Amino acid sequence: MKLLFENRMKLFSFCLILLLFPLTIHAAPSGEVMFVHSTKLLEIWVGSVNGRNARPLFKLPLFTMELSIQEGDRYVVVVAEGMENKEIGEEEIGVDAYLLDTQNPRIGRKDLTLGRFSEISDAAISRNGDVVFSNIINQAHPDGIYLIPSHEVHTPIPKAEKLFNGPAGYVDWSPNGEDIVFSNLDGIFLLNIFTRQTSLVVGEDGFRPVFSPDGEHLAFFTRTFSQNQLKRTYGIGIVALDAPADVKQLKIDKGSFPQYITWSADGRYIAYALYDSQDQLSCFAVRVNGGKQHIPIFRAFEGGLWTFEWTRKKYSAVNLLTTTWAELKASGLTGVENE
Amino acid sequence: MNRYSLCCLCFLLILFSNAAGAMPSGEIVFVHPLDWGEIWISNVDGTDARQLFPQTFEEVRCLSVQKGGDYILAVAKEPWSQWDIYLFDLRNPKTSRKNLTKGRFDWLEYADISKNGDVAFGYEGGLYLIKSRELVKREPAVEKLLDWEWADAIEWAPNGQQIVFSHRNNLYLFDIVTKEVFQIAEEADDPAFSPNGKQIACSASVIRKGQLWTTGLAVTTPRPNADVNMLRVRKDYLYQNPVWSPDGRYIAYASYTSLGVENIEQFQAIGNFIIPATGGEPEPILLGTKGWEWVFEWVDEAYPVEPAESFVTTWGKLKTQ
Repeated sequence: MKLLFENRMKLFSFCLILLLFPLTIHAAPSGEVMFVHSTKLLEIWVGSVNGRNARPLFKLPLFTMELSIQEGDRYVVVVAEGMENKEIGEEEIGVDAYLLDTQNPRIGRKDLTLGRFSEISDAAISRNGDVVFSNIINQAHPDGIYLIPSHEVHTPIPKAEKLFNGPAGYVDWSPNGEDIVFSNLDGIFLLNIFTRQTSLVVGEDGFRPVFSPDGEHLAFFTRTFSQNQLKRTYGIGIVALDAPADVKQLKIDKGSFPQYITWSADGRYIAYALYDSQDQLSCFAVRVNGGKQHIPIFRAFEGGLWTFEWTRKKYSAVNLLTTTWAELKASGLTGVENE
Repeated sequence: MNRYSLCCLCFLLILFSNAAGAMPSGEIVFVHPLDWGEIWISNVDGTDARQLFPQTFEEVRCLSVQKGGDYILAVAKEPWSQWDIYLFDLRNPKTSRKNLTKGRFDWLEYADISKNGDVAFGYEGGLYLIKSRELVKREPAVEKLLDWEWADAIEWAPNGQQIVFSHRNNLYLFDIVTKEVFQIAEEADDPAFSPNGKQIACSASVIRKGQLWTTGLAVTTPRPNADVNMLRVRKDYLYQNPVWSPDGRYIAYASYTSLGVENIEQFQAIGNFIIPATGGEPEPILLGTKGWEWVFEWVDEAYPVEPAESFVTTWGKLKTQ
């Protein structure tokens, strides 16, 4: 009898595990992400979160540090540092903001800032195709935030107007394209592009803010200092814009240094990348509502991903991509048709 | 709409289109800002920069384009060799360049080719000439034109009979027919003849209380003790290497500061600019090259580019086609 009971308990436990296991598996975010390849550093790839179907989309003479995808996925703006790469015909200088076209990946890159603003710190593209960027002069003197309106983006030398004069690091567009969120050492601010008014959202503890897909929340990293100011501890903050005083805090591994943060396409997860104390990069996702479990993601990508964004559609597999004008002409691709 | 209104409208449209297309025409030949041994060419805004010649050097320090001709001259250095004067033929850009001096002069800095194809250069002891007929020879003959301690920043007058040069920060004009030489101006350097030969653009020192205060961009005339009129002066900035647009309406130059650059206004005042030859506000040029071009020339022709595969264009250009 006892044996029968034990066997039934084992069967019951096994069934319970079988039942729970899929729930655990499905607790990770899904969909496709665009990312800088972890070992082929000059290539931007797309692939599912679990690493399946990963394939190259852009090959550039650039080391991409920041990535922003337009809603609808047509254009991508990257902040990238020029690398000498004569194999693909050109070389670049400095850190600039570039526009890439996912519908014409072979057409190459459009340099939006052309070295006119010293180093670009961050850039983002709105649903309307407007581009904002922040910059710093000679790596030491913060300058401000500039807007390149969508109608300027395709001109040979796009005109940029200054929206904000002062220090600004990370920038992101609200989904409605009317506000920009940015951070500096004083905290996280909203900037309305029509009134040019700024308002403080989170104090000096917050940095690297990103809008949720519905535009109602911000996710960001937090930093707190020990009493003697020698130690910093990092975490994740989530705040609703209609209740900025109520910041939800999520802990991350002690001793780790935050690298990147973004939202999953459905807005259910915040995904982030960290360097641990051994300088190893790891990526995690955490559920926005109630999740305490930090789920490892992108484990299929050796070395982890330091820059990634969710896409909303699937791209067809393409060949690698920057080419010369002569090749473009020969292939019949000009990039004009879909503009 | 009557004919008068239509005429006015057309006139306004023409004016507007000229104002809108404010960037002057022509192309800039320049030494690549990153690879100092490559000669490139671009439209004035720098958005279609591409390599002009497949041949490269270790470094190029001086360029000269024959006005209305097919030659480009470069004072350049091959790895493990000394500075020489090289001649490129635009009719045959694939053929290798011709070394005119072949190590016969141990230190060369400035050379210029006249519209007739005569090559003048400065070297210890004076001003030297390689006549155009010598260019095709295996070892072109060199003759001394002028005994002088040293001649820098040499440039032919458009008439091909005079040469302007600088020496110890003073400008001189030498007539190769009469052999006369006179001083044009003191405290000036980097001379460049206007296409009509009536003016010389230069960089000029601004002296205050007996001390060098700054240098400015200036124009003067090829006459003894001529007036020097400043076009652009800014404290702590250097304005150098002026070149004229082919139509003579603009002067392009390089601007640099030794200041610690701390704001966007200071940052954007560095680089390459054009300014109306009659004075006015400068406009940045060559932005697409993202570099500070030190050695450049302005030409009015679109040269063929070799190899064709190296002609990489920009997205903006493709979109506007």
